[in-house]
Amino acid sequence: MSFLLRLALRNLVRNARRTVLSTSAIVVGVFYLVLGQAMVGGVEEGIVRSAEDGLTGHVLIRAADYPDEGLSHPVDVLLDLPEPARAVLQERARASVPRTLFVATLVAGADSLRLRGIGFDPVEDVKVFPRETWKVDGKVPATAEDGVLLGAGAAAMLGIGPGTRVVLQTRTHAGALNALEVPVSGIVSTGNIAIDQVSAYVPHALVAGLIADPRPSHFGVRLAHRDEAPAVAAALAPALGDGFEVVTWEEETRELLRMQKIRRRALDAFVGVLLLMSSFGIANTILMAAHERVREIGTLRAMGLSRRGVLALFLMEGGLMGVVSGLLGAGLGGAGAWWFSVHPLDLSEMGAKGMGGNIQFSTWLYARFDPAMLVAPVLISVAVALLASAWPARSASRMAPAEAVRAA
Amino acid sequence: MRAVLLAPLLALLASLWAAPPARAAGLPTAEAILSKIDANLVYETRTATMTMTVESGKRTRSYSMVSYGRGESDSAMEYLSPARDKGTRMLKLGEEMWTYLPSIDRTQKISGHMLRQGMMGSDVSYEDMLSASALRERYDAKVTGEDVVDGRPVWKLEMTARDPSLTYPKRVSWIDQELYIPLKQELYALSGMLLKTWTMSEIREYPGGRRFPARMEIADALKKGSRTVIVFTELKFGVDLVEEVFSMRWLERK
Repeated sequence: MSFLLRLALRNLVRNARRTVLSTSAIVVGVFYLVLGQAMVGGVEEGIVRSAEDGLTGHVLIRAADYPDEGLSHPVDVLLDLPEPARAVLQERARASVPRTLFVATLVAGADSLRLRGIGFDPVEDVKVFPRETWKVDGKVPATAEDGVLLGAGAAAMLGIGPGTRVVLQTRTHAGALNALEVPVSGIVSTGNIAIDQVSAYVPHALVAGLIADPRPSHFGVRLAHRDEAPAVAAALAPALGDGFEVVTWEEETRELLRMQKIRRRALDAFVGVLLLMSSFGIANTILMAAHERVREIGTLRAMGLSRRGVLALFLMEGGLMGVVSGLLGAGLGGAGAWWFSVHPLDLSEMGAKGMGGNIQFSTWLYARFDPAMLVAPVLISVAVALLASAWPARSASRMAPAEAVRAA
Repeated sequence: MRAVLLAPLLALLASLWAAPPARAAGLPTAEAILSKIDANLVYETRTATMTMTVESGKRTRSYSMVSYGRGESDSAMEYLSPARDKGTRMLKLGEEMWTYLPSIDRTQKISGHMLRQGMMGSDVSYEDMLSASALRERYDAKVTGEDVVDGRPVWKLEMTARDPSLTYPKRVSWIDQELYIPLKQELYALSGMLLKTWTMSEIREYPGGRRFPARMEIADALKKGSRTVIVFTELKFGVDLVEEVFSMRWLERK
């Protein structure tokens, strides 16, 4: 066996340039497979994290038939949680916090911007909506007097910073116009486009004055693990009764994740084509090797090497090409994935231009790197190489020794 | 000695304090003023051709449109220019409103909160523009005095919304004492913050003794430099409007 292996290696090295050209497509394919999967996985995780940590939590309670499209946050229905629902939350949730989402016009001098106000409890909110990714210039408001914490994108559009006095205009719960002049306590980059571009955090006490009602429009819920969300939502629905709607992070991100699945399939198709192309290259290499080495095959067969031995030799050559190119591609792709898992891509420019609104999407794209993700691409590349070399290897193994020597 | 000198002065001050304002007895009731304003501004049917100029910072845009009104809640409007917006139509029936966009040949229903947004980025909301309900029914009012606006004597009225859902919880109006048109109105938020100043001028008389302003100017008190001017080039009241105007067929006609 080691003799065959050495022979296979020697044959590959003998035509190094051809071997490299044949395997380069596999290297590229595996590289894209590893890096692409890591990036797509990172985007998926970014979508889920953005919803979990931004506006949805693991479970979100809101009024029935709450509008989903556009920047629309009516406050005509506010929430009083029934006692059975409070009991479910007490038992199943790690934490739950009230929030009031409302549409406001923020006026700064001659400029104005329509944005989403996020009424929050300055102390409790962090228990459901963590702030690890936040970068704050100024401070998070603790009281109504502190004013509002404005998303970085919105602040950039208005050209304002901490300390600027702005007017926040909105509708009351009943429908009348209301407006208050407040300071901007800080500018926040959360990494969530839906927040950074078109949102402002407003302390509950200030929101209660603006909408003339202390009740919230939402309750965000944090669980021990996100996988518990469907079960908790199912338990909450009957406890809440009519007039409420319970959505999970999964439901909230379903549409975006569905788009990601399409991207993933497109990536798979691209990599598939690359691997198919490379398989032709490998098949060609093995076939050419077989034809170039007819005399050698004849000699080996005359020396007693069985047909199976010849088959194994050529399969080994293909397999070696698959192993080396798979390891090289996976190594390069893995290195890239690891790099981007530590050094995220900043998509905030893209976010500022085309997104925002209701799309909860992270502006920092981290790749999802896991060493285990390298195994399958290497195995695929070996399998492709073995499959590609099967037919030429079989042709070579079927040569009769005398004919092979004569033909040479 | 000092007490003797001060006594008449104190008596005079006391009498001034106790006496009612000189013209208080002659002031009309707020109810009477609002009735006369409503008689001018509220209509059964109306057609109007108008131009709307929106000034926002350095940018100025002009629109011309034709509108039809029926009672307090039904109205229809069509943009005539600019070319980009020509053919855009709006229809309001009761509390529901639709807009037709010819560029994409699509009708969209406008939800309640959007009715309260600025029309074409102006300082006038769809609600402001398309509703013609009586002030007397919506506001409690009191006459707080007299003043002069544009050289004309006016009653000053303070109005408080009867219904908390009304867009402007408080209005202060300066009503022409002869014409019974609010020459100037200040519209306030619930907090008491001034939101808009609405002035009406070029008052014209129409058949039946109705008076109506041909020019309205709305300034956003919050946003510096934001102003909308509406000029009615043609106004007809009490016209027979064909039923079709207030239908989806009219809205979506090619």
